[in-house]
Amino acid sequence: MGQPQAEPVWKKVLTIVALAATVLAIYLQAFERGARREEARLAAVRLEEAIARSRARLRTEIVAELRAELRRESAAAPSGSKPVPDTVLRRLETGATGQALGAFQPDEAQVLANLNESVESLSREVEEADNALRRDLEELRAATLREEEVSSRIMILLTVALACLIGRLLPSLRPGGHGVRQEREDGLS
Amino acid sequence: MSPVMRRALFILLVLSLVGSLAQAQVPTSNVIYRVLRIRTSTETGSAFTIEVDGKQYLITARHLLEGFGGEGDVDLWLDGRWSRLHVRALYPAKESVDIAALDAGRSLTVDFPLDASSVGLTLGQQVYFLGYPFGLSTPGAPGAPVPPGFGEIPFVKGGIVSALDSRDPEANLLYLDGHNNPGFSGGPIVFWHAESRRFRVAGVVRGYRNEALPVIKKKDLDNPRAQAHNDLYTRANSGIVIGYDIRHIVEAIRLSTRASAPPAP
Repeated sequence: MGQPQAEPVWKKVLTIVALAATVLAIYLQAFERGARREEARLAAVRLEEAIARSRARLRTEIVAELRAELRRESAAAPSGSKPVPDTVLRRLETGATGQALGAFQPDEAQVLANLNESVESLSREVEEADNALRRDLEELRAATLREEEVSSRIMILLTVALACLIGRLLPSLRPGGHGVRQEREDGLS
Repeated sequence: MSPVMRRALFILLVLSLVGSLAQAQVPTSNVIYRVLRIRTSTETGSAFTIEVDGKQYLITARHLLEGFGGEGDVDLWLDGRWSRLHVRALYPAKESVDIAALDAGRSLTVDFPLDASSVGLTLGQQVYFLGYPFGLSTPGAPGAPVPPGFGEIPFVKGGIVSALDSRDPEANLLYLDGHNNPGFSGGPIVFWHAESRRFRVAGVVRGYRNEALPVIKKKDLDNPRAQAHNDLYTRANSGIVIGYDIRHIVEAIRLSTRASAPPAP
């Protein structure tokens, strides 16, 4: 006995360790993939929400605030019956009267016109940035999909390895397996 | 973005825009609310006010006052109707200078700063002339802070200073490249004086130069040598506006004031 019996035990231990490691790897791979998928999904949702929030804020708050400032500036112009020196007559942007003329300081009128243009420009730029962010998000999703694909292939390979290990280990664990048979053979001789 | 940052963004925007402001100036209330529509016994045209030594005068074209003499009545379109006004007329020494000043004894319009001087007027500079062509205007502009008793907001037309004829010191002429129409006679020619950052009245609209265009047959439209058919011609606006320098009437007013002042003891 002695030497011939030590090798199968050593092999068995190694096989069991390999088996356990493979099972653990499969478990981790499966668990991590699920976690990553969930994380990516949540990140995408968060990003979408952030974009939606920033857009909503931009429209409802920042641009609206700038426009409100513009309107306040316009409304601040004297509109009563008393004329003011150094003012120009300019058709108002909005108002119930529609075609009304308002009195403005020339510089102020120019500033308001340019500012209005800039607000429009700012809005367009933010829209473009928003679209760029969306493109980044799509690329991120594509990268995640690629990773998932690789992960699936690893899972398949690990499963094959596991099957092979089980196939290798099962015969040696059976009561009439290789070790016992060896002992019987030893006893007979 | 915090409110502070938004505020900062707004201020930055304003500052950057102020820095890039174009220096395009359009006539201000200082000019617009001084222009009135005038009717005399012979014609209808435009007039405007200036202050000379603290007193307001109504300036118009002399040819609108044909046969008027030194004193009489004119009608001004004020507050939506013609109002009769008794005035004393003052004229430049030289009869060909087509300007007259009317002294109503009281102010007729706002007295916002407006220098009556062509000093600083530059050849090629953008100028404006205001008046009531064919009696047209911006009537009852809603929302506009029109002074009480004011008439109607005048037409604002523009051109550039094409030529300054100063050969006769008693009759300086201004030629503008612009399209004048009947009704602008007596209206002010104004320009932006950069140094004072105000508009100035450089002159008074006299009229425009006509050119005789031959009446030709349709088949001769492309022939530059075609002769007038049956010696017929038509008048056409050449696009050259003619005005006289405001200083002639300012000098006449000052001369008149000095003459009527009681002698110093």
